[in-house]
Amino acid sequence: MPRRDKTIRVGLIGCNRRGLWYGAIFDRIDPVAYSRLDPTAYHHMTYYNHVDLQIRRAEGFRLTKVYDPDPEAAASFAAAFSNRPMICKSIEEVVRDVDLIFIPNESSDGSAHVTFAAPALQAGVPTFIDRPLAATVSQARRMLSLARRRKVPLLSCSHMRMLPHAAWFKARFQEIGPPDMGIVQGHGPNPALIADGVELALFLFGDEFGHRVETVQGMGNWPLEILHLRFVGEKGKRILQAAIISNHLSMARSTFWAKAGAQRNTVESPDLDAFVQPEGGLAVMNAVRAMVRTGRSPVSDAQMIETVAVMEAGRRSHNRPRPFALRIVR
Amino acid sequence: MPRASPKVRVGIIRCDTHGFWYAPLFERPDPDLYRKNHRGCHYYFYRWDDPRKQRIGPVPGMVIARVYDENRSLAEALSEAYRGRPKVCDRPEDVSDDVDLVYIADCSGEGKDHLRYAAPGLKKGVPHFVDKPFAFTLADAREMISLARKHDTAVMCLSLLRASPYLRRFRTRLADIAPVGTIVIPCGGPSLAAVFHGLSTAQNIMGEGCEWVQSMGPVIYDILRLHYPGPQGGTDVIVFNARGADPRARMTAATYHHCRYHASAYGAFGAAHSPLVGDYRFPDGGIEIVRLAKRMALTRKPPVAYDSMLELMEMIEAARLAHNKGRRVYLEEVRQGSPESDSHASPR
Repeated sequence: MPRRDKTIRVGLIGCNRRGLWYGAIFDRIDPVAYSRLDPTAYHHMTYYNHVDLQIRRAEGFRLTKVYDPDPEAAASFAAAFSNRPMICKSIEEVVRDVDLIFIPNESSDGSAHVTFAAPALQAGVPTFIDRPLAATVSQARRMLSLARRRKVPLLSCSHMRMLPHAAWFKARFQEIGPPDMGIVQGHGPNPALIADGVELALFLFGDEFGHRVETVQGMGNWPLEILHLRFVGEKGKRILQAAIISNHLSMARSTFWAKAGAQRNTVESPDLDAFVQPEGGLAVMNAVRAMVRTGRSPVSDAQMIETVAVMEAGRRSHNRPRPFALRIVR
Repeated sequence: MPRASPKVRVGIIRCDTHGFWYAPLFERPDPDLYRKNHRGCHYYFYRWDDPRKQRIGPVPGMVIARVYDENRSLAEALSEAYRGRPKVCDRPEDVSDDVDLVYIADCSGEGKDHLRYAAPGLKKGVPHFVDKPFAFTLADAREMISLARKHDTAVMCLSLLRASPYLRRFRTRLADIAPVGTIVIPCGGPSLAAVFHGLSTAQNIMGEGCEWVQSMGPVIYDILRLHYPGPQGGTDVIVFNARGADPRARMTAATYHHCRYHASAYGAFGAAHSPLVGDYRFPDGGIEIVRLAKRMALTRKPPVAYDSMLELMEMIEAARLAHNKGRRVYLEEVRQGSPESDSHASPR
């Protein structure tokens, strides 16, 4: 059981730039080391000539262990943190004596997440898996089922789902009434960034539809480049049509944009860029802390599966003649 | 040869909302009779503080001479707005007699009858302004151009969005956020009337030069991707036609969706959103189109390159070929009439 009111000891699997980004949000990272390892992200957290990171931090976490298949990556990663987390040689070693397993994902489709997460879930350690939870719905179900059997909380989500700026934008929908059109402009072909766009779309447009998408169709130069999502409710009479456009490489600021329309009236999001996105990371970490303390995941299994289902359906419908019904993959 | 007559005489085929809409740009109607016969158009063309004064005056030197509609009462209503002076014709081919310009109006159709309406007049050598879409098929559009060339006259098709100065100015703003990866143009529905406006919006902003088209969705044209080559992968224009629905939505005066279009551009240095180009801003494009139509009537030369007008039809044909096929259809394929391209392909 997690120790109440005590610092949450974090074991991190995957010493990549995404791990550094989250680590900077929940623990004390050495800014100089960070600027060397990821100068762009460092700038987004410092702006101009500050040495200290200019972001709000999540309280109550300490990075105690790290693991990466590449020992050099693990060593340079660990050296960036003031607490000098222990470098582990195996996933099993990371899982011991920690209160949380944290699996950041920089650019994979999530297919390795089962391997990374299973030992932690088996050991009853609360686990956070970065987006996407898995590459397929069956992989996702396997992890969620294991978590349920072991009575351990598991959370997987994108920071874009919890970004306050996205919620503020969603609050503006009342200006136009319930949207019938939604657009998310994101980035690809990195599947992790595409998952950010998918989660943002589900967060913005899915409420009224139980966060479930009826059909997905994909087209483009790579799978998931442009996705068409149809949300259908109220016996087929209520329809929201959405597109997630991930047609360009991420620029320095990794800006996402969203647009919602109702009866030809529209509202546009501000730039949801790299400078504001740490607020989403902070919100994720606050949710993770609550999860560790309460033993309950803040996001339902169905919602976590939906992101994976949309992406799996998008791949299966890619450049195919008709949309793919999500019930088939669910 | 330019005509010596002091006024360009206009014949109007089809007296739908667009027929009434363009009429005050050709010639000033009687405001009371115009309002009596089309209150909606009157609202947008007249001053709110003086409903007898036109907000935007007509292009000088034009006069409406003949009108026709399959529903004769509509033609009579438009004629009445001009105190009954324009002759109400019994047949569309009569409209092109003794006029200097024929305008084929089309508010919400798909252009299926444009060739049929234009052919008699073009054969008489009368310049034609054809409303959007140019035609239902690329072949029909090409045939109209061919007829115009053969009979030493000209034809022009321009959407209000293609001529909108607001979108032209928006184009200059793209430099502020360049390179622009995506431009999103929400439209609404599979009718070519709306799709053509969306494509014209794209052409106004991007200019000519669409390289290829992709299309997907349960309904034809639901999501169109127009690719323009350029630095860093070029620009994709997403024309979003997929229509949502909300049975609870109640159209009231407060929520009424004025007919309007807009575009959002997303680039390396931020987003830019065009103004809403709709009922209030359409006349600024309309007056420009009528000026061009007048010039065409006087010079018998197309005021816009035929290739530019045809590009929009090529996009439509490419979209039909590409729809749900999972491949790009290059406009060049359509231009060359490759074996796969069937100009008469019908949307399902």
